[in-house]
Amino acid sequence: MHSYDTLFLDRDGVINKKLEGRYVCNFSEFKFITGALDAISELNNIFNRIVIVTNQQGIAKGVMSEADLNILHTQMLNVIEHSGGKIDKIYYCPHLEEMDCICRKPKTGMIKNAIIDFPNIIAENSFLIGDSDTDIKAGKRMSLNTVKVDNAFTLSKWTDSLLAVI
Amino acid sequence: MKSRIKECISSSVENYTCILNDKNIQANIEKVIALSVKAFKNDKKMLFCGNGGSASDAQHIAAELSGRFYANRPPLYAEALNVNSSYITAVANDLGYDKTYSRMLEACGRAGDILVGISTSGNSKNVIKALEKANEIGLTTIGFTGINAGKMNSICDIIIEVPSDDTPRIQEAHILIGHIICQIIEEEMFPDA
Ligand SMILES: [Mg+2]
Ligand SMILES: [Zn+2]
Repeated sequence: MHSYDTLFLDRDGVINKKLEGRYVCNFSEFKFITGALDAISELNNIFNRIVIVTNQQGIAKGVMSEADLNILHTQMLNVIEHSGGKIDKIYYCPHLEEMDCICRKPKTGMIKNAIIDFPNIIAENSFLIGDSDTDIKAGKRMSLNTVKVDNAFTLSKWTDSLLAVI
Repeated sequence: MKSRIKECISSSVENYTCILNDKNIQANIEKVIALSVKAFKNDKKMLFCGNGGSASDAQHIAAELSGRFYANRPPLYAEALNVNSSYITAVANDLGYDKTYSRMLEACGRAGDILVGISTSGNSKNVIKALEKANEIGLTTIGFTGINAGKMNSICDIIIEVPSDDTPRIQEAHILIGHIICQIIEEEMFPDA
């Protein structure tokens, strides 16, 4: 049993650097944010599980396929595992914003699918970390604790602050 | 008096005409049907709640699914949260009326189920609390409301917003939409019935 239950991580802007005006379509464009890899493996020690919830409307726009995204994610997971971290599952929304689906954040479908896959999730003991207001909204709708990160206050900085109070 | 009767009927016709021309509401009805069929096929259930006229809508729609609509077919698991008056009066009396539906939802709602909250204002506290609890547990949340969706808008996965601010017209549209949903769910679930 860990101190906290489930950590929901947004991907772009939390784990990897966002690209200006375009989508990360393959692993050569995927650059981990400084400290993110170490942070994930440290967070594995205090969370029961870590999942990623990521909007990827580049798929519906046709700039990448679901197969491209899956390959990218496999490569990302390999690097995370090599640095001693583990992601339990990745949820992505492939839809366009205007499709008004139930999974694209700030909607909560991806988080709800995680609850179906991991029925023991305890919302009040879980966190969602994102860099957009839509991430935070989705987390709040699900009664998760939410943290907004940016270029200065990164996943790594938040991890340090969390470890300091345990 | 005859003219007032006609006024009521034509305001209802006008409301239905708006819905007939409202692509957005029809797209959302389609989403509700698709999610409901998926839930039933996964052995999940549909729950409904509302107050007053919307409480009767809740149990009316639930009954169309668990009983029958047109076809002779197996029952679908659907229930309204307001149907046990002993429970409602006890919880309202002991814990507060706001808790009536969220507590029942906590008892019977499971991840993957669907909760339909019905509130013409979009602000009924006990319905809002039930939708919030449902999100937390992992149910898909659907709101039936009027043109100013109120608090429901930021809570529900899908909002069915009847383009009217007149309570009786909104309620008439809710039961129409409930019937549409029941009919098509039945057809999709039991194509041979
Ligand atoms: Mg992001
Ligand atoms: Zn989506």
